Amino acid sequence: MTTRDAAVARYYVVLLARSQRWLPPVLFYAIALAIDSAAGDSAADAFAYSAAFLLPVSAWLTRAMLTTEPAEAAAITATVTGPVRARLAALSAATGYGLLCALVGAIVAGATGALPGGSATLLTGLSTELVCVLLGTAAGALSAPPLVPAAGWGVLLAGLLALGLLVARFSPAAMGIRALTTANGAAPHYPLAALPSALVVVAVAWSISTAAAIRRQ
Amino acid sequence: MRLSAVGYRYGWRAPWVLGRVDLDLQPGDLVRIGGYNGSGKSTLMRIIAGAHRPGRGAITGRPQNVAYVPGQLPPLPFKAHDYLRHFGRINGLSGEEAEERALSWLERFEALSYRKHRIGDLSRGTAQKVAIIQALLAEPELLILDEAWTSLDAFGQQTLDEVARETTRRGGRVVFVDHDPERLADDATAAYVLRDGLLHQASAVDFEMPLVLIDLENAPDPWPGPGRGRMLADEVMRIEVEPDGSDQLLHEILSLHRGIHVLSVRTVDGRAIEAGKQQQAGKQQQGAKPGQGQQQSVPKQSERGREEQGRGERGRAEHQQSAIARASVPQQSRRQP
Repeated sequence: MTTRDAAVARYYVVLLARSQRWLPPVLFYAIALAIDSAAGDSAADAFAYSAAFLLPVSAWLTRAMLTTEPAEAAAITATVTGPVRARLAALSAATGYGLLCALVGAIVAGATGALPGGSATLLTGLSTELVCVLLGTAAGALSAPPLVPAAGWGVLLAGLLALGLLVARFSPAAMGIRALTTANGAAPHYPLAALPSALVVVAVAWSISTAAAIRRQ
Repeated sequence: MRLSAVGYRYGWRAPWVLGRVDLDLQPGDLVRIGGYNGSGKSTLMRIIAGAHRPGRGAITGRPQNVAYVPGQLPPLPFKAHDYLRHFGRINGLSGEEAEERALSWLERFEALSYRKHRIGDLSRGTAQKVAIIQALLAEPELLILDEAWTSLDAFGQQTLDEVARETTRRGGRVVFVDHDPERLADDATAAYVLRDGLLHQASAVDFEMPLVLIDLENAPDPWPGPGRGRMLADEVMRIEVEPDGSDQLLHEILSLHRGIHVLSVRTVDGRAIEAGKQQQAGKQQQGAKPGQGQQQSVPKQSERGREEQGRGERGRAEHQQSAIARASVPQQSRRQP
C-alpha cells in the first residue's frame, strides 16, 4: 500500500465519519453489546454474541460507505485514483470501521469475566469476529450500487445475505460461532477453515463490486 | 492518447449510449465536445477521464495525471480547505505542498475567504471553484472540464479560460463541454459534436448554428423526410433538421399534414427556439402571420446569424410564448441516496 492508497482510504474514512452515516449501525451495535453485557454470560458466549451482531453491522457500514459519496464527487475521486483503487479504498475504509467495532466487542467480551478456555477461547473469539466483519463487508459490497442501485432492495439484500451467512451450516461465520457456543466451558475447537474461506468469499464479493464500479458509478 | 472504437452502455440490454467513438488527443490539444442534452457527453467525458471503463473499444496512452471537473460539486461534508487537502494528498503531494497550492489557487479564484466553510454551505459558484481547484492541484496532463463554467461568476469563468490555456501551453491536454458557443473559440484546436453515439468532426459553425429538434405527435413512422426522424417513448417522433431547413419543414408539417401535432421545437443545446405547447397544427397555421406573438430573445441570437431572419419572423409568430415545452430527453444517470 502506497501513501497515495493510504490517502484515498483516509479520505473515505473521514467522508463516512463526517457524513454521520456510521452512527445508526454503530449505535445498533452498542445497544446490542449493552444488552448482552448486562446478562453476564461466559466470555465464549459473549464473543459469539458480539460476532453475530458484527456481521449485519459491518454489512450496514459497508453499504453506508458505498452510498455516501455523490456521483460527481465519486467521478472526481475515480478519475484521480482510478475506479479500482477508489472502490477498494472505500471497502477498506468500511472494513476499518467494522474492525473498530470488533475491537470494542472483543474488549466487552473479554471484560465479561473469566476466560474458561484460556487462549484458545480468545483466539477463536477474535478470529470469529474478524470473519464476521469480513463477511459483513462482502454482504454490503454485493448489495450496494451499482450492483443494486435501489436503496430499498439493497437494504433487503444486505439483511438477507447477513442472515444467510449467520445461519447457513457451512458459512465461515457459523463455524466460528458454533465452535464458541458449543465449548461449554472447555477450550473451543478452533475452526481452521473459517478464516481462509471467509477471505475467499470477501475476495470474490469485492471483485464483483469493483468490476461493477469500473463500468458504472 | 487515443480512443479507438469506444462504446458504452448502461446495461447488457440497454442501447449503446456511445456507439463507436474515435478520438486522438495530443499534448497541447484543446478539444471541444458538443451535443444536445442526453447525447452522452458526460458519459464520454468520464470515460476519457478514466472514471469509467468503456464497454468496448480501447483507450491507450492516457497520461498519469488526470483531473476531472464536473458541472457541479455536490454538498460534501468537508470544509473546502480539508477537501482540497485530501485531494492534494491523493494526488501524491505532501501535506505542506497540498496546503500551499490549495491556498494559492483559492486566492487566484478569489475564494480564499470561503476555505473554512463546509462545501454544502457554499454557493454553487464557490463550490464549483473548489471542484476546479481540486483538479488543478497536481498540474494535470489531461484536464476534463464537463460544463465547468456553469454557475461561475464572470471573473471565475475568465480565470478558468486562462487556466485551460495555461494547461495546454505547458503541454497538457484539455477536453471541455460548454454551452457557450464562444467559449475558448479562438483557442480550441478541434471541435466535435456527439450525435447518435458517434463523434463528428465539427467546425465552430456547428456550435453557433445547432441542429433543430422538432417533436411531433401522430407522425408517420418511419419519417418520410426531410430531416431525420426517430421514434421516442410515448409515440413522440423527434425530427432532427439543419436550421436552414427547419422553417420549410415546419411549414410543410403545418400545411400538409393536418393530423400531426407539434409538441416542441428547440435547438440541440437545449434552448427552445419557440414552443407551442399543446396547440393544434391547424390553429398554429392560422396564427402564422409575420410579426405576431412575443419575441423570444435568445442571447447572442442576432450575432449568430444567417438564418435568424427567416426563422425569427415566421418561427416566432407561429407559436404563442406561453411556456417552453421541453422534449423528453432520456435521463442518462440516476443516483440513489
